[in-house]
Amino acid sequence: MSIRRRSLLRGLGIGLVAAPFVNLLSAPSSRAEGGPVARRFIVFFSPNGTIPQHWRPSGSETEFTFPAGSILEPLADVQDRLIVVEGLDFFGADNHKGGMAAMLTASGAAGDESGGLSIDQFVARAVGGDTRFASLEFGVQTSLWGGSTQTRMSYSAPKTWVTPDDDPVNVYGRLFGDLMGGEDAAAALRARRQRVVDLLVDEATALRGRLGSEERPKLDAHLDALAQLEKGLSGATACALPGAPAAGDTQDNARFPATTTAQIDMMVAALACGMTRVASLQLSHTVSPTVCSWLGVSEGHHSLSHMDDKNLAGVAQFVACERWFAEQFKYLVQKLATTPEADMQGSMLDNSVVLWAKEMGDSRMHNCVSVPFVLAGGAGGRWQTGRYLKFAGESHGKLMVSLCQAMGLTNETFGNPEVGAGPLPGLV
Amino acid sequence: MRTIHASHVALLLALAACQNDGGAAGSETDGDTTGTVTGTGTSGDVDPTDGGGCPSDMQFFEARVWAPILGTACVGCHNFEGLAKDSRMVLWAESEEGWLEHNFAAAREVALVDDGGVSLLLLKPTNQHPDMHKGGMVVAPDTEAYDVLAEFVARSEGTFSCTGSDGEGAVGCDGGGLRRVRRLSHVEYNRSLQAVLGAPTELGLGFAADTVVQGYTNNAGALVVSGLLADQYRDAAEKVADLIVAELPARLGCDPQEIGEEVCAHEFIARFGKQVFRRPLTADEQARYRSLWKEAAAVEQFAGGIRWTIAAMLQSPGFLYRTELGEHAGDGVYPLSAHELAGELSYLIVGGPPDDALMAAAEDGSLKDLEVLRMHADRLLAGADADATLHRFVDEWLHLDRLRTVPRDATLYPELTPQIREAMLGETHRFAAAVYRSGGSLTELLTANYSYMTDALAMYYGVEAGAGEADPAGFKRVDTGAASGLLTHGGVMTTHALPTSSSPIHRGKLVRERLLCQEMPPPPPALDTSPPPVDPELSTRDRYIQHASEATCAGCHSRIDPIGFGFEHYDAVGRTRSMDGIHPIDASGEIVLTDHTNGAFDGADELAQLLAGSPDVEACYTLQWARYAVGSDAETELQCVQDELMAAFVAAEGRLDSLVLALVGTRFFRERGGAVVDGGETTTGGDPGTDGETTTGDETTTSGGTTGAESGPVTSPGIDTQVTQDSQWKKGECNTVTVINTTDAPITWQVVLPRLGKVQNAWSAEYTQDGDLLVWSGEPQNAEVAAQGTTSFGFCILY
Repeated sequence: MSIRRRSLLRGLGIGLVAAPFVNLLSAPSSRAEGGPVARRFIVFFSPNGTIPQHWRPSGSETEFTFPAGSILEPLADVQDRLIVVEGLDFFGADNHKGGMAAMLTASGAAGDESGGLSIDQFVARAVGGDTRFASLEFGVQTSLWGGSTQTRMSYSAPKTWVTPDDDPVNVYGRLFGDLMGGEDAAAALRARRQRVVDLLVDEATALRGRLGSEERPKLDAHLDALAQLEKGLSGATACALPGAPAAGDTQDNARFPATTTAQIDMMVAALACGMTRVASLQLSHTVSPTVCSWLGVSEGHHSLSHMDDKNLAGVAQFVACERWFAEQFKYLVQKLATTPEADMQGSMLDNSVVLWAKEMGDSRMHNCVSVPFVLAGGAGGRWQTGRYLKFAGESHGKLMVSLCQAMGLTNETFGNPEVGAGPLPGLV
Repeated sequence: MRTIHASHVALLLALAACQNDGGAAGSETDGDTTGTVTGTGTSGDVDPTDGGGCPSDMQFFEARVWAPILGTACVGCHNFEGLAKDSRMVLWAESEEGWLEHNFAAAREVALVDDGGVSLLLLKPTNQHPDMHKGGMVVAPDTEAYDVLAEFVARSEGTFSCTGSDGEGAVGCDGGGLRRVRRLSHVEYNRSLQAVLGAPTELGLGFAADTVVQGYTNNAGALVVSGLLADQYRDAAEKVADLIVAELPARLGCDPQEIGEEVCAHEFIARFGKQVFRRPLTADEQARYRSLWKEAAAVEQFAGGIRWTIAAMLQSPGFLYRTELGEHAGDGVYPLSAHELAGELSYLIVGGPPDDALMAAAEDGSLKDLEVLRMHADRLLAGADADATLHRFVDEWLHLDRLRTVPRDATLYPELTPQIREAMLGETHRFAAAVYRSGGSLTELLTANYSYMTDALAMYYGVEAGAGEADPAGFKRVDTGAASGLLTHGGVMTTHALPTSSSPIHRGKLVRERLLCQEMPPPPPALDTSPPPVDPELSTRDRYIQHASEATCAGCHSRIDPIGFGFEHYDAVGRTRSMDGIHPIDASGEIVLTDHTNGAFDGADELAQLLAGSPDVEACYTLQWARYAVGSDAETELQCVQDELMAAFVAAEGRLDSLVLALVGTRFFRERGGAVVDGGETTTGGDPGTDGETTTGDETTTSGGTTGAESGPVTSPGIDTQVTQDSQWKKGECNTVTVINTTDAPITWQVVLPRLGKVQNAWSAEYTQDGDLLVWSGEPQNAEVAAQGTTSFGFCILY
């Protein structure tokens, strides 16, 4: 019974979805090729593009500074752990929604090497097989408007979004809840839950058999979800528990900073004890209505992102918000830098790749030209950090290839292959 | 190329296109807006084909190319003065004499320019031209809009033929709707959980947010179970199981001491299971739960077994999905089962599971009688439980679900407390319910001069508190002194405003999109949309008038802003005002570019009068309600009910409750299937029987290399196949084939199967025919199967 169930799961649920990537799953040995690799990959998102002249560092690749008052200035303390990347374009994508969709997918389609997945999900498919969660998605007020192209960045298949969890209390229960009881009690609980999942798979498979081909993908997705649930039940190993987050209205604008901190703390804790190797934190979404009220700002972030240069007060408020996002990124980077690896071989940051992504370039222009990226972490010694790389219109798909390869993958394209192949030149 | 009959386009959808996606003054748009033109519904109610034939090139251009695409997404730049004035395509506004002929010729000329084998008319708007398109991507490939442009190119090149495209791409309701399953929305789930628990709960309301389609959270196509949600279901199910087990002796319905634990457990499984699944359990299901109970009870005693039984049922597809699969009645028609009907009716009207009376009518089958069905519809509509579903429609229709969280500057507007926001929501809910329950019409909804307020809310607005009796929450009927109904409620005005000011853009866009059903495209990229600095010398109105002064902005903003100006008497937190700072209010405006709603007005009352009398708004309201009630945004599905709904709504002079009864009376509400819709559906049906479940049929396993004769094609060595017959009927069958790689190396597979008939459709694989054999190989995404991995494909054949 159990054997048949598992083969069904593979054949119907995961098999269908994962088919384009199975060659990755079966090729761990190839990860050793091509230099050192990172153990984990983290995406950090903040919305509504940027104002380039307030974002750009000054100086050369290795001798650069963040000008006083600029958006990246809060990162000065961790500058030598960063690679600032300028001048990458999203080809064939424009505007808020187009940018949000292209940001992590590089406009890939089902037939492309990346299968139309976002990079976090693509990497998770390859490296997430032996962790409790293939990936974890954390959000802060991403869902006030529900799920849509504007509010989601992570794709497990073309047109299929992975929903981030906006509620730190839910996250805490899911990740660390079982650790509260004793080991024996937890094991017994897991066994019983496993038995329930077995039953649910039988029921979902039976319903699937009654459906026409148009409706079967729903039950395939359900079976895939049950496989993920099953995997999540297993082995919450000894973890350093982060503080339990305070309950409260996670949709309340004023709680944005507190929720952000709680989510970062739990993300680092989950990564530290090996629950997953791929995580993302999405702060709001494109066209974000968030007001940085905690900074004394009164207008919504999206409105501020479209302020003309002549509107000095408006631009100053936008820059203030953007500097706050930079501080959150720094908090994440420093937290990783101060957490040693379990094997004491360096810090988590040394072995991680962290990507700060945005969905547009100059927000006033509504386009995806020269979209700013910041990388942090040494990727296991693969990359020389403390650099500022300037490109003139390279495809950001190449950055994605570099990131995949830093995680030990061997794909040569990511996203739309028409606009370029291979890793980003200079990012070695 | 895919060809589409213009005659099949849903005519109710007046899908013009101009939408502010982060517009010049920094508006925040819907989560569900469309960044590119995807639909091509005709504007207005004129069938361009004169009743179903093939439209002429000019008719096709006007209805399918101009109205939804060039005339909305392109003409803003491609005009005499626009950004694209020097491009190869300069279009004339509809006000110019001879515009249609000129624009037709201009578009045709561009269509005939060939660039590397592809027409310029396809390369440019998709931004696939090597020289790029300054306006970015305004039409995405793989959309209906793209197909329309491709058809126009083919027509221009003389390669298009109206014949020979039967079936493919046809839009219509010939099939009576798709046999499908619907996952419960979170709100429906929560209500269902409450019914099972017999007590209030909010466990389902905190789940990870679902995909929202056209503003609605119950879209059948969009609701699926993710890994995260499966975990949240598990958590909620275990909590509810604990609560029920805590009340066990009373909840059991039998005494285990008296009749034996096993007998009692089996009774409980049958009785409780029927409540949870909204139908009797099948024999297979009973067996599954009996076995689960037995195993769990062996370790955790009787009550522990019950606990895990409850927890499993509440995570089961039987609870989480409603089925609309029906029972085959011949000729491919599937009348819904009585239990399916009970669920459909109940979730439609009260947003929760069937009550005892409805379940009884399902048990004895009487619900299949239309009169009995209508009787229960009337009964449920009259009950208090129907309010919540109506409230939710109003919330999602007008985006009031954002009222509680929409940010507002606390220094400027300290009076807008959470309590006031809550009271605003209560006001709109009570008002809508009162109009609905009194047999009121859409006109009354839009023009009423009364509302329902708590005294605190009345004081906040500055109107006289009501004199009558208050309801339990303190709301009284109040004279508002305005005649603008729902639209100027504090909740609507507050939701559609900016943190520090009113917003003519948000409010105009609300009317355009939610009352006129015209979607607006985002502003073109690479155009600097920065608003001018805030200038205390200028009123809000004057600042926004800047939009109209620039040709590239005016294309869309002339449709939005002049409507929004009508609401300038209402500030950012829903209070009336006569001054905007130091400026007197000017609330005059105009509705333009609609079929039947155009006109000038001064203030919200006159605007409301224009809207209330318009057939455009009547049609749009019907469409919005249909999207919500049917839980669909697919034209193919909505078309099954639109005509009947519209006719009933008009006949009832816009009575709001007439739509519910009209929907219940449609064939779509009670049946599925009937004819082939877009391939595959009727062939995969099979007869599920009345027990609600069938087995998945025979399975046969073959090993690689053994099926072939000495010569001819063979299945790749190392590949095992497992063929599962999904359904079989007199004339054919459908199968799923699992391809299993038994080796430790990836294989680019080929599977050889006997040819039992003509292949009608196939998915996830392609085939060639070799005598009596079919040789199958994968599509690009599954052509290779990993070491020890599996993939699958499927096909249907006709004998």
